[in-house]
Amino acid sequence: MNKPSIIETANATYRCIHGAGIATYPEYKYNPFGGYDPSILSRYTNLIEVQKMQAEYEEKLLGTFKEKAETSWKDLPVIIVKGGKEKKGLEGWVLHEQQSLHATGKALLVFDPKNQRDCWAADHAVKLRVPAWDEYEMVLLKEISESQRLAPLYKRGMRVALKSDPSVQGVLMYDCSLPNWSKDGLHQCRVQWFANADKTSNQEYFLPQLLQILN
Amino acid sequence: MDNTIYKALKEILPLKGSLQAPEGRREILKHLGQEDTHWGYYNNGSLRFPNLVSQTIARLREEGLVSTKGWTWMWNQVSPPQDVSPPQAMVVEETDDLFDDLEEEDVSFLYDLTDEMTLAAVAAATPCFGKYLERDPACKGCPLANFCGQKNQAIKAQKAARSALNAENQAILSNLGVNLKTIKANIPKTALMQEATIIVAKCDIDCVCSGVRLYAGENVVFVPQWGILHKIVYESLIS
Repeated sequence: MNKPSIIETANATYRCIHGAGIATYPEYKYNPFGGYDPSILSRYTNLIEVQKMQAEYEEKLLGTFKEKAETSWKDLPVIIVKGGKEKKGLEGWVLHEQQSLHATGKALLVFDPKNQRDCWAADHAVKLRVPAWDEYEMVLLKEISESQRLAPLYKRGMRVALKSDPSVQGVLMYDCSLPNWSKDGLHQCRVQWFANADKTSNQEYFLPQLLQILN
Repeated sequence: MDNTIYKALKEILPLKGSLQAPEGRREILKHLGQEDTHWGYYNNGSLRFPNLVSQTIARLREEGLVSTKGWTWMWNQVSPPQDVSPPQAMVVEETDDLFDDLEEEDVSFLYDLTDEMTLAAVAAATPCFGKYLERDPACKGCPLANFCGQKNQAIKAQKAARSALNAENQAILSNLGVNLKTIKANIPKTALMQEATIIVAKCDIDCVCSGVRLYAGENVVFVPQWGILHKIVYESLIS
């Protein structure tokens, strides 16, 4: 079976059961089946064939990522494989890259949109990974657009808390109008945490990581 | 061994109590009214009678009727049992007498097998339930025999019905030009055959394995991780 016949069979089966075709997402960047959800396809047609096609696609995709990483890591999905406990295993996307100040290679800012975590990692400490077919659009782009929508609302002096731990509260030091380093992604803002918070007193955070508190 | 000597000794000895061997031989001859030559001679010319008497005494001694001391034969006073029969394991009638007041079911089995739940529990704990064999003596004595037999009959009936259905299905499949062997060889390993569901087709579709056209409104089988199958093809595949 080739890719079109897999899609056709699954679609026909789905239509026979539900009376309508399978929903498609053709705009999704990393979808092996031209917008069809692989988990739905595998339920309605031969799973082995779907998995085979998916494996072929993933291999090809990784090759493309490797080629791209030679020039720039930006917007590539990675997993951190070296480093401390907090960093290791973090799966995210590279938001920003810059020449490392103290070592050779590049320093990458990796953001995990699922768990709202970010960290810096050296390029030799990360490994390219294959993202879930809807991860880029449904998770990363969603967070970025949310960040852009909220940015004008975050003003100097506003009380904020961390999403991951709402007991950690502080005050915004500047208006959150400036975008991050690359000026095209997540907005960042500097927060002065209250004395009782177990955090470094003055830090920069991506907007999705913060939770607005009403004054 | 001569039975006339044996009988004569059994009659003489109880009366005499004890006898010396030569005297005893004379008494036997006298009792029988015969000469010692009547029993003949051995090849070496000696008489057979004294030897036959010795053998008979040995037999009586084994039976416990006579004891010997040197050449003296003594009759034992204890009378032997009248009827020597082989020992018996158990007399069933006596047991019945003991439990006359009890009903037969209570004696044979503790549980009330007419209760469905009890029967189900006992049957679940009996691995051979449903494998009743009329000629098996173990089955005859089993308190579940009746139920087991019924179950066995039901299983047989099911099998017969299934084989009849299979034959019918085979005929239909051959009419449709479906080769079941080829299909069986090509079933995907990941197909969830046991999770299949019967659905009413909402549009026309081809059977994923046989290629037979299935029409909207028809009952078809959906096998997850494989596709839509003709109902008879599916039934034949799982049987």
